[in-house]
Amino acid sequence: MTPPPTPQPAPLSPDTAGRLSEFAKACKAATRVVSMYPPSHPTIQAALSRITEAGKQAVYNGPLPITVLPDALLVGGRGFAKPDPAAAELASLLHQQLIGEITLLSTLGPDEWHGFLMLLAKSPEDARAMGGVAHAWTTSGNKSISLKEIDYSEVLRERAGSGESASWDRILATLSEEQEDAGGLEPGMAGMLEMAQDSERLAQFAERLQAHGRASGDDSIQQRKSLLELMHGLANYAAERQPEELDAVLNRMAGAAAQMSPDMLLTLITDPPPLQPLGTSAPRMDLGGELQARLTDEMLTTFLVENVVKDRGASNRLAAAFQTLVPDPERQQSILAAASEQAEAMFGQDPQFESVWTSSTQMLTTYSDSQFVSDDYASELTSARTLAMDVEKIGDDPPVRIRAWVSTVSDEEVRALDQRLLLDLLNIEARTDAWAGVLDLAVGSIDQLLLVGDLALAAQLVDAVVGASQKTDSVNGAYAAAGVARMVDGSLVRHLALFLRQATDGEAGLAAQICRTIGPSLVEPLADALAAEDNVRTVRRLRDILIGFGTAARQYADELRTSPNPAVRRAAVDLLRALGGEAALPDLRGLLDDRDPQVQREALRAIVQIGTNEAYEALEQALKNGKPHTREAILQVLGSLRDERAAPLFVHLLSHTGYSGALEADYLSSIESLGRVANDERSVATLKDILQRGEWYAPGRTARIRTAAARALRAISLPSAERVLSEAAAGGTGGVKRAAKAALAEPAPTRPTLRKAAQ
Amino acid sequence: MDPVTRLRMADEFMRRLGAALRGAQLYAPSHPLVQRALDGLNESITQMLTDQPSIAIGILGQEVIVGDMPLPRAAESMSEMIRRLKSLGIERIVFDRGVTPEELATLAMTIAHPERRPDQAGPGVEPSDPLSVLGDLPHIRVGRIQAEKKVEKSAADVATIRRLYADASNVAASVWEMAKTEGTPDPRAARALVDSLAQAVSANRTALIALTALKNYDNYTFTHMVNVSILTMSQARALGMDGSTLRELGLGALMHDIGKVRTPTEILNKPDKLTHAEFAIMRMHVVDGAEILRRTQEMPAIAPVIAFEHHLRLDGTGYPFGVSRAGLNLGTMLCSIADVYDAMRSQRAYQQAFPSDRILEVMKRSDGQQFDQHLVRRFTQLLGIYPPGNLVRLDSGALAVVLAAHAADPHKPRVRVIQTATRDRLEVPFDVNLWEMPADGAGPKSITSPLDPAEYGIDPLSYL
Repeated sequence: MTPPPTPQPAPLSPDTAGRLSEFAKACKAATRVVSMYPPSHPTIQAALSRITEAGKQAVYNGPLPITVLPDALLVGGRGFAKPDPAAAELASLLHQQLIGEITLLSTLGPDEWHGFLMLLAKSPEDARAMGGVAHAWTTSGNKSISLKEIDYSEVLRERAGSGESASWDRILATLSEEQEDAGGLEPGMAGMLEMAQDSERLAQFAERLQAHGRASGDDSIQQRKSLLELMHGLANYAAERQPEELDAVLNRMAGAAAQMSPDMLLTLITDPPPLQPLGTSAPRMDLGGELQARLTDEMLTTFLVENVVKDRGASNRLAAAFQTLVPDPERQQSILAAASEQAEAMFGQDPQFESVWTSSTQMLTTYSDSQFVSDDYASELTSARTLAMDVEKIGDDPPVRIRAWVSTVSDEEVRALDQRLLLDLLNIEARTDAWAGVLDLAVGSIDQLLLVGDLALAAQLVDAVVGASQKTDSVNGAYAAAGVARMVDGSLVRHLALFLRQATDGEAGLAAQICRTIGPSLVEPLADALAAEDNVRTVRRLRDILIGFGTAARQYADELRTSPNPAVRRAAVDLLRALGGEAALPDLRGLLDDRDPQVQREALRAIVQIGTNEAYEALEQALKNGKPHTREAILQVLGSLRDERAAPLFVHLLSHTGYSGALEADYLSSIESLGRVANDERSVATLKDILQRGEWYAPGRTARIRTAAARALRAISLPSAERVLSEAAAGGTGGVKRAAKAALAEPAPTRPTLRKAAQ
Repeated sequence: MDPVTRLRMADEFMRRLGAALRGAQLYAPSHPLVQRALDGLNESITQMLTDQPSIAIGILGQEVIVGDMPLPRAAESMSEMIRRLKSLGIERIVFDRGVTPEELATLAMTIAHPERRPDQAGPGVEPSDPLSVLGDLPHIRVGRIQAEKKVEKSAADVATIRRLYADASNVAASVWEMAKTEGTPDPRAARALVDSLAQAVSANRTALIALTALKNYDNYTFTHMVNVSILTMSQARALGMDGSTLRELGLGALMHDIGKVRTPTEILNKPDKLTHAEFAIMRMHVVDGAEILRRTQEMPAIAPVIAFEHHLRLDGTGYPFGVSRAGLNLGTMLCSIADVYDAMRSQRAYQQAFPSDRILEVMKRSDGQQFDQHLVRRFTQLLGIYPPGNLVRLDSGALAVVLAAHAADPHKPRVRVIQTATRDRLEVPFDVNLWEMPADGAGPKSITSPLDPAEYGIDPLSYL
């Protein structure tokens, strides 16, 4: 049964929403991945890194309590402004594991996350078999995450006020499953017992049980049977676990029974107790007798009135129930009198009350079906009733079992069976021609699975086909190799590219794994696809896949860097950065002149990242000879560098560029940057020259430049720099002295850790 | 928009349509993959409709034309979609601006599952007319539609069902022959046959089961196909299954032995016990069947699975060897029960027919580990120890035809007494509920043995 969508709560702040969304994505993806691969697999490592980081971010501002609804996650009662698919999926996963709240208290390491995710990845049945995810996690002793299981009694209380029918269905489903797992009646029955504190709620639950049964296609016999089993289960549970409370529980159950329909009440009183599970020998109580003894006159009076009013008369089922419950004529009259009084007080003004009540009383006291049916028909009725009882005794497959059977042929299960079939056929088919036919089917299936984005199934088939292709000494190996070639030349990459556009990061990882399995032959079509791609996310993911192929992908960077699409050219930069090494410097140098600023910046960063002396020489050359926009871009990036090898670049800039007018700001910035990264005598000498240089016609600018130079010298921790400042403070000209003294009076700035120049 | 961009968008649009249709075929509507495919399709179509009021897709032979542009290599990468659309008589789809995600979802679900109503997510629903559903969509128009030929509605009476059963054997024979000569069976003929049988199973299961009790000495192979299909669908129906799932299981059961078209005739018809080597060849039929059905267009995915697994048992015994399953799917289990039951009950060249009760005992062999005993029990209840249509001798000496099983006591069905203990044929047969007969009263109380109608010159079905 599909639960109704959860009402939309107030939206989260963008910051929390971002952190929660990232956590949900990472957690969902990692849960899937840990169930598929061994712990040492690279995919798992990547997923764990991501969830570790996401977890860290999530608790950045302190513990993060997340409420889990069937289809949404809330923090402090607030949810996402727009539906977040990852959060919905994680919510569904957690809800399946009966987790009602998860609180991230502190950061977890990858190993701890792995342990947690392994629990989450278990099937609900397996998880329940070990006492539930929350129980297993608590047992592990880890306190970084706190889990709260769905509290059934709380849910039921909420149900009484708010009409949360999905939760009722959930409980019913849980109880049904628990009934299947003989003996495993926790925690649903415990929740029921809690609910049995209130007769009215218990009665409501019984009605809901009937409705649930109807919706599930149960016939009336099965519905009655379910009620009977539940109530007997509850009574026996109470007798076993809380014997001191049993009497009170039975009293309340009697109160609840009096609020049920006549059919349900009759079922409880007259039907034999359900069969006990195999292996149990404890005597079961006579629940019918216990309840009947506890039905007070007051309860029965209300029972009669409510049913007569509801049906505007006494039905034969009500009459049968009344006769069964109160066989003593004297007590019947007493209850009827009280009922009449009560009914008159409530509905006496109704003009039809008198006639309805009189006929009802007559029906209730003289009930017998003999006057309505012939003897033959009565005999047939008896026979039919006996037959129905007999059938019921034999046809005892519970709906849960039938649903379990039917679920084995659901669309998804059949897909998995189909894929299993192909794997088996590839494995056991010994005839070469036939094997080639199976291979064709497998290749076609891979194509279809990729088209629909079911990469998990596709990956296994790819593994099998590629594995076979590596047996080069067999005929099958040759067929398989041809099959792989067909995949490479066919639609596979196009399907993948389409898929990558919308895939989650975890799924993209699976796509990368498929590509790696197929091998370097896929590099060219991947590069072609990347070159033609215009979606930024797809470009990035294809680029990552290509980089995963190592040097085999390097040669395609040339093709990509001439693409009209800047995103593709950026991907080319990334390829060159990741795979090109120093040999990529000429190509990267060319991209410094790219018309797209982002490409320029990426190329510049790539060169800086290469970080060799040759790389910096290339930059210096670009500064000297590059186009104006290239130079500007270099300056912007250099400003943020933390590498002492950049010092010569700043020295070059300060020695070769002007500083008047609009250039002054860049000039001052370069002085500051030099002070931040320099650690050499050449820089000190340059700064000394600047400090002592003065222009009488521009006193303001001269003062600003001297101040900047003095501060830069102060930032350099070399003795020579300190000496320059001290000498200037002691014996420099007026302006120089002032700047030097001011700099010395300031505390020496703390320098960030710098990358060192290669020796 | 330049032609290259338009072409790329059209190609992407068709791929997304293909992904949406395939996804809808393979997964439940609520599955994230389906939703994602539909989102992608919606995104794509919205983008294309920004500068044109409508988009028309045409299918000409193996060519796909979007607007006025033929898509290159469409036949290669979109053949499945083309075939599917054409099989529904859809050669043209026009999307108008304003088309909603819901309409796209309806289109995908209807094309993917033409036998289901669009508002139904899963199996167990009555068939609908897919094309009238598409005709109701305000922003999607489908053209050149030829409605599928409806399967003739079979009446519930015994005579009609008898004709249907006879026809079914003939159709099964033609399906078998085509598989033998062409390499794959005719899926349409098989589907039409199963549709008719499924209707009959719903309308008059008892009569149809009774027909499976007939022993056909000449056409064992084909009657066995039909019987297994009927018995499988009967079991599935009793589990509440209906609609496409019921028919797919019926089709799988009909085809479960189709791999035997590759088994040499001398082995297939050998009257003596098979040698070890011959049996090894015979065992290959499950692999052959799976391969044949897996590559047969329009065959439901469950069919090759059933063909492959129907000799696997729950306790891990059976074949094909080298295959293990943690559990078996319902289709395989129901078909296996039906297969063993029908094979053992039928008069075979290499073994004698078994009385029904003995068959059921055999099905409980290996301490009941080979078959799901709950399903075997249900099967027993469904058929009774003496299935409807069986000619039986009562403890009074009278002959009777079993009319209906009594689930509570499969040994005591409802029977129609047709001949007295003194061998006088009754002009007016009378019915007796054996389970009702008092132990100390007069009259028949139980069945003593099943009888071969041929020996008595009686057609039990004429008494149903």
